[in-house]
Amino acid sequence: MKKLLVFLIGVFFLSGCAIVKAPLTGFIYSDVKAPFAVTSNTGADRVGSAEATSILGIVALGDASIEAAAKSAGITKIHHVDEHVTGILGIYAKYKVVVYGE
Amino acid sequence: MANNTKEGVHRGAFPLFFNRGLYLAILSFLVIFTTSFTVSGQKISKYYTAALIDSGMLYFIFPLDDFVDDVSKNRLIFDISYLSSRDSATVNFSYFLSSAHPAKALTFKAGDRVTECTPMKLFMDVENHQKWHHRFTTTIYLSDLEQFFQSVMPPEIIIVTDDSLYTYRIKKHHWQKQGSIVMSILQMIGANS
Repeated sequence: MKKLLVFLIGVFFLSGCAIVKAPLTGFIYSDVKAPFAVTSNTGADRVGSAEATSILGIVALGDASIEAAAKSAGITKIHHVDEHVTGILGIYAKYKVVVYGE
Repeated sequence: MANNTKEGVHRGAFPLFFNRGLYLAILSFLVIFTTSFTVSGQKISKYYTAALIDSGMLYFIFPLDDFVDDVSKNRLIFDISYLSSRDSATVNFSYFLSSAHPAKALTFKAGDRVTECTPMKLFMDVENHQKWHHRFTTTIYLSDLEQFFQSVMPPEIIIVTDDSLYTYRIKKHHWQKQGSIVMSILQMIGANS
């Protein structure tokens, strides 16, 4: 029974990591902003964001698409796109896309 | 004999693969780790982003979602963007209702001070058969926004639709944190203008 418990806890900790795509990885804590894309369009006066969240690597929900971020601010011409990643100990991770445009 | 017993009890307090030093090291690490989060709790850089573009600095305060409708318990989610060459900020906001009711007015109410804005529709999506996502945008003078977030008492945001009036309130402890963070960002924007 004890071995089974240890095994289950081991499986839980080894497989249950909320890992998120990022240019840099911080095992304990991540808070990274990075460039994602740039277009040739000039000018930007609107900003929109969209995000997806993962908990323990077991559940991941959200729409962090560029389309969703642009739609949230009524952006039709995209200037550039940034990404913002936060994560804590593989328990909680958030991936955010920020779209600049007009 | 007594020493052996004492040592045995002492060993028994920790699992076999731990020794006292390792246990204390891990405990210390966790304490420092937790403390560092508490100390950096007011770090504002994660609540906004800024980009330098042709017409100035474009600031964006990430969505705030602590305002809740008392009756339906639905949240009001709004973000703020501000271009430094302008005198007003853009507020994009989302509210959720069981049927489609476009916003006619958005009011920021902090004590006696009331600022009414005219919203424009971005989109209205049906998420499921009982939840409509209304996304609107409006503009507000930066000075009015500053006064709203300067309020000591939790303010209200009121949405008037074609059928009713929805009042969104924020809990005091949420406001104390959120108000001070946004105010710090607005002060920084003002200092750089």
